Amino acid sequence: MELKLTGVRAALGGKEILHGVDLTIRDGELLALLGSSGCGKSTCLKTIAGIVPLSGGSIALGEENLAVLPPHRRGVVVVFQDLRLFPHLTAAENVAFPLRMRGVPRQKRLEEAGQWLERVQLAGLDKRKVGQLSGGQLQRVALARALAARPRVLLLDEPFSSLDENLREDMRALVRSLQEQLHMTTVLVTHDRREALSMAHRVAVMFDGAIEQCSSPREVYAAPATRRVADYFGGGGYLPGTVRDGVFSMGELSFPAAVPDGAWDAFLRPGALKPGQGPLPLTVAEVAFLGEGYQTTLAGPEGFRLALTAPAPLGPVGQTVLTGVDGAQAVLFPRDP
Amino acid sequence: MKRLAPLLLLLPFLALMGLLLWAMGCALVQSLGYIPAFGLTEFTLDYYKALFTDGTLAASLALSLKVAFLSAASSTVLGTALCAALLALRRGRRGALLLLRLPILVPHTVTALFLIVLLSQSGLVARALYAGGLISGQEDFPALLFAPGGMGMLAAYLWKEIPFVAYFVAALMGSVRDTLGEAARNLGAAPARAFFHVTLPLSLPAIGSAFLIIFAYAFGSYEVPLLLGSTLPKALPVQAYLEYTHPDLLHRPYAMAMNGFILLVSLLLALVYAALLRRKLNVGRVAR
Repeated sequence: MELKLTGVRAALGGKEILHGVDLTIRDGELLALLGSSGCGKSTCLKTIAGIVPLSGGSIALGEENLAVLPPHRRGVVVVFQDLRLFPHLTAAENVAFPLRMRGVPRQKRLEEAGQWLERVQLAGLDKRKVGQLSGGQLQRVALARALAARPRVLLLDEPFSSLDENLREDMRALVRSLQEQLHMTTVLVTHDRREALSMAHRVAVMFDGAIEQCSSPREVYAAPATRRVADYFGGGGYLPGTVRDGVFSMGELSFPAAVPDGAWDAFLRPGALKPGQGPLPLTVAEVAFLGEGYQTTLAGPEGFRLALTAPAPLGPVGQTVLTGVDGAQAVLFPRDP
Repeated sequence: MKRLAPLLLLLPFLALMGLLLWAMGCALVQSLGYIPAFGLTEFTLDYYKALFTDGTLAASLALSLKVAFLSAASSTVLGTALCAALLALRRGRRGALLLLRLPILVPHTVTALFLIVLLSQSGLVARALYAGGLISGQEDFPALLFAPGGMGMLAAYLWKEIPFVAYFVAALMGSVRDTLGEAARNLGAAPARAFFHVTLPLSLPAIGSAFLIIFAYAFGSYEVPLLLGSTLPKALPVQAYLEYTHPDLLHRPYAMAMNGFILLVSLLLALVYAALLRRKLNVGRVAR
């Protein structure tokens, strides 16, 4: 079912955190809610789940108004960042908890819990207490418990942040495949750019309690809507120039640009630069060996810096490299007054 | 010198502990009937036996155990319910918890006097009822205090300990409720079921500790039964003091046997408390 947030406002301790969030999560979609800590993404999740009360706007699931339902009737289940497994219960009892709340008889719910544990690759650990499981296992139990509740919407609140990198990769793959199999409408809250880009069907970037851009991972990365979104993904630089009659120019460099005349900054990612094939003089500022190749940092006018990775360094430090720019890959932002 | 320094710093404490243990040792030896100064030189358990066989002493023991258990059990149940209700408040949770501290800060003696002023047969409530024509004399007002059943003591303990339990349990129950209780509701548990399936069981270590503290206090307390208790039977500590100050010095071992019994019960409670505390720490670790 489609989840639709319209003008959602919410406050914590008298301070407004969400200033009108508009967001639609399509049926069966995995949407990543990306933003730095404190931007309100966790609050947004808790507002959908009904843990944080809505102070304005509306939340609808299909045709149903979610905001009027108490948390336990919403069918919206969160996997919390701190997991919140029940320490007085075994792994299977934890997974069976939502079934128990629905009145499923003991034998049947423990059987079903066992099946869920199998699906998250924890077969045979049914009788372990929470205190006897490792970090990665706890994560899987929490995921199994949320899925056993058969949620209409699954919300993941930075669930992998406490794991080390290898386990995190495994969990990402597991979540991705289960999400696909179950066709479960899912929101993944994360501050990890790579996680958002690699896992989600669409990425919503959040700043200061509002959505700044929401589109496919490719588009959010390649065509950031604002400077803040561009900067959040990093790895780019701004070339200052002017546009006249549909052409952006800066010194000898020029390329077509469909924007009004005026002062503009061209935001470039490494892929847009063509070292040795153009008029733009850049200086090699730094060379670092990365193992799989060399990272050469090129510096230009007004603090422009961009790091390129190539099998070999682009030149010794201090050397000038004449560089071309693929105008189609440049994103133009009006220069701040 | 460096190795001796901690020992030297501990000396005042050790001296005090030594004194306490010495006094306790003396009391225990006397409770076993060994007081050469009074001509008692043979060790015996007779004085302890008397606690259970002598009519007056056995009645004292029974009364003390009953009042301690009833006040601990009812304040624990009611205090836990009060705590759950306060934590469910949308606003004013902190203010309510502050308000709870008032009855906790009032000394037991003051509480006892306050109850006498309020609930005795010539107290404020009786007078108000009389003025309103609802009773025709002070003898019509039920003798709540000083009655053999210990109702007066129970009332004093309830007034003090219900807020104590609520306050004592609030820290653990509050944190469980806001994390795991919230998770339970998110997984489809209605508020009451989230409370009984998750919040309450995980708050049990604190609730159990509160019960033990109140039981130990009510069992060994002197001033509340002195001020609010019946003439007969008397609570164990009051009876023990009577025996201690008895003109016949041969009553001394009875007093000491009663003290010994109170000490034994307190020690057992302390051991259970320590075990609970360990469990509470473990729960806290897993729940994060």
